[in-house]
Amino acid sequence: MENKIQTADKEKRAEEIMTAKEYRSIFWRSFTIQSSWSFDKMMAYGYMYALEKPLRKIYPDDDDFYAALKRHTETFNITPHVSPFIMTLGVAMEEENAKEENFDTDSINNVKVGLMGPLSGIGDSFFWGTFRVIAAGIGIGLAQQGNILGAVIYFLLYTSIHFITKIIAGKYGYKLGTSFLENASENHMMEKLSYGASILGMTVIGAMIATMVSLQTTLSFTLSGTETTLQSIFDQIFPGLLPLAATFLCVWLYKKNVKTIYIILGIFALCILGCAVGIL
Amino acid sequence: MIITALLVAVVAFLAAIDEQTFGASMMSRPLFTGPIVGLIMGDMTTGVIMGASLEAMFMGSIMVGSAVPPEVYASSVLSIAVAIQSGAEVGTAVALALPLSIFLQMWRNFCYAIPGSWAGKQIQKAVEERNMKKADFLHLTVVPLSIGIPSALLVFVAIAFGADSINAILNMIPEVVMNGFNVAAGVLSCVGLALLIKMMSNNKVLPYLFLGFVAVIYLHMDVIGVAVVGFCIAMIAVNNMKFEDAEEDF
Repeated sequence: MENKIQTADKEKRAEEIMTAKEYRSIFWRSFTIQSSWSFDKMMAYGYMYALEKPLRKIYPDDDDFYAALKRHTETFNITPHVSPFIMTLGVAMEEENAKEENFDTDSINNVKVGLMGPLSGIGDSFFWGTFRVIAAGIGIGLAQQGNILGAVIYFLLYTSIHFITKIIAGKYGYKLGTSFLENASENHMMEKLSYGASILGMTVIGAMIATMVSLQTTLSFTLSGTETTLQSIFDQIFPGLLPLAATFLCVWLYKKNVKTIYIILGIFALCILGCAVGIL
Repeated sequence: MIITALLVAVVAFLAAIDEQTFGASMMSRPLFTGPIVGLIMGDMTTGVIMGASLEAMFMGSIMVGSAVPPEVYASSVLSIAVAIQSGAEVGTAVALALPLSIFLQMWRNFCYAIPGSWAGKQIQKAVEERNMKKADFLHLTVVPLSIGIPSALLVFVAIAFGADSINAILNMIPEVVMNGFNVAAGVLSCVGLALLIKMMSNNKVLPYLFLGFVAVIYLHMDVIGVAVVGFCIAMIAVNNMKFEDAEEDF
């Protein structure tokens, strides 16, 4: 009997998690996703901030609530304009976690990491590359003649697309999450999801090292009469060697329990030193 | 003059924190701040036209990946104000604001590195202490204020006492330090990626990282393409997973 009540309770709760109020909370809070941006955690705490309200509703118990918040303090980065998609998807996963006892919580972060690369790729090229340029182009044309409408049209055009994208992204993230996770408990679905997402995530991290981390040496020396740069030799053997080496040096330092602040200060010091002696 | 400078500094502050607090709403772009600065300085039309010229000039200057563009927001507010104040041409106004632009970009990266990292640490601590009010407060204030206040202050001084006054100081920063900061800004993203690798990696999935890396370096694919390939590989791997209780395999 008690069990029945609990199940009924859970079902009732599940129906009510994402009401208009929670969508609004995620929508408005998502604007501050970069508010505590740092090189190490990036938008992690912005994501956590946006999920605070729905998580509170999913986990009335304090222990569960803070455990869930902590799950969302891992490094995260995305084009801000499409962020509600992964936010409501995260809510759907947390909701499933609250319902299913054998939910693998690692899969939540794996899915987030797996999606951040491709969604940012789409978001960056659409918002920064395409839409901002079109809106600005229209605005500049008018503003060059001293017409204030240029600024107004630019702002309205951009903001309407910005808002609409955020609203739609929020709705679909949740929809996709819940429909996908509906039969997650059957057929080792959770293990498959977790493993598949970690493969996707790792592949994307590899691609992000190549695109986000830039490090080149300007060291040049004379080799049998001709001037050669060390970078050109790297480029022939393994072009991305330095960014990859820098990343894994950081991984190694983290495994040695070196604190983030020392790693960051060390990078600053080495870069300034490198510029001073002319190798960077 | 002081009140005008103060109001323009407020605009510079809001523009500087747009990426942080207003979700990159583009209200910080010169095309939008131009008319506002114009209104404050009493010459709207020049503000609008200056905004358009600066917008066209900085069109390609956006923060994507590890590229380090010069700071656009507060420094274009200053350019527009200088142009109205002294009747200078676009080129002259931009040149006068250039040291500020370079310095503020360096400062922004510094804020992401030190105050940002510090804020993260404190937020983490607040979550452990179960104090969400404190966590939210730190999240919303530390980085925006550490970027916004110096931006506003420098713009204020430049307008109240002339741009030359701050340029003299900003030019004193050794070039080696500036260059070092720029190189560091390109490298520093590896810290965040390293944290992710440490969290996710085990020997089973680590090879996929190199796969994604090599796809970009040698095959020149973009991240979306790599993600599609990664997704296919993940599907194949998942379908080949063996479970101990899977009877249909026999």
